[in-house]
Amino acid sequence: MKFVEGESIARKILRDDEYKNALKNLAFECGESIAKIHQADISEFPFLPRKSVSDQINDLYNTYVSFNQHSPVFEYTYLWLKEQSFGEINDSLVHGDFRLGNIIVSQMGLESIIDWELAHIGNPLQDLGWICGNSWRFGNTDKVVGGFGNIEDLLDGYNSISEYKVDTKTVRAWQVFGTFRWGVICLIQASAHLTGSVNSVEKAAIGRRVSETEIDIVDLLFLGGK
Amino acid sequence: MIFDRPSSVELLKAVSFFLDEKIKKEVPPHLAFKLRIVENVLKIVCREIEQGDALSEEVINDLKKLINSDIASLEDLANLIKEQKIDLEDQDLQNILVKLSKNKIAVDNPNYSTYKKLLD
Repeated sequence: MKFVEGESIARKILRDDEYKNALKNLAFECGESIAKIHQADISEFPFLPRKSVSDQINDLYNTYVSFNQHSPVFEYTYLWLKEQSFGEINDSLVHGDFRLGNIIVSQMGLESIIDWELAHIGNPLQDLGWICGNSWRFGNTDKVVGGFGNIEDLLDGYNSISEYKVDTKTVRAWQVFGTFRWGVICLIQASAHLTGSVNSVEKAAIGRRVSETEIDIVDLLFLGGK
Repeated sequence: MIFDRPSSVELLKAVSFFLDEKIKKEVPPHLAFKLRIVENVLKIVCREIEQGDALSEEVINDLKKLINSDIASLEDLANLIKEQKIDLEDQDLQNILVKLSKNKIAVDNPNYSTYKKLLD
């Protein structure tokens, strides 16, 4: 393990003047970095779970159903996701939570990737959709990539390294997947409070963030949202 | 209601004011962050008390028309979709899902970026 100097707090990176220059090229650098992660030799990670796309979609849906809180938007999303193409690409190492907050940025740009708890083996393009979710734009909703960049730069960076070339339509399917995934994570967090396993106002409050993911999904599916 | 003023919303707003004006500057940073969550929660409750019935009714009325019934619930709408008893491309269905999502976020977080963008 080594010490890497830089900043990981999203709002500081987006707000502070010292990162202004770094932000200009950050989407491209993130694309490159994600592609490099996906080139890792998966035989080195036998301890990581392997998850197919359809298994992940079904797992998320079944988790949502288990809370017995009816969401017509999530029902719709589940059926929609089952019809999508997520890219025919070999299983790779997937970071699983690649976004601002989990990367270290210096004034020079991207320095390191942290928080690998959700890493697994599967369709790696998930990482490209996740960083484009509105939940990780911290209010800068017009900057699709993490609140700082545009999707073309992210994909240019990715496609400059990866043999598999990705298009925006595939990323969009993953974006909806990622938004649904974050919605289900919010349900899980809230349930920890609701079932009494912890008494936490933060976990209670996050239950009311599910509606953020619902409006993001209807915006993406019906209203031309990016 | 048989209760005197302050109303429930007025009471909650008094608590919010107290937390914001008197407590916020007294607490250490890690609790200041939690206090902000607490204040947001109180605001959600206020908005739900003030607007919740009207926002729910709007959605349920549209749903009653869609399924041609005198009674309707979110569970009915969820099941309609789940069992694919309605075309997923149906414009009225999509409109209800949009309205439902807007009306929920109007209580939960009206400052949310996507909601503000859609209002413009």
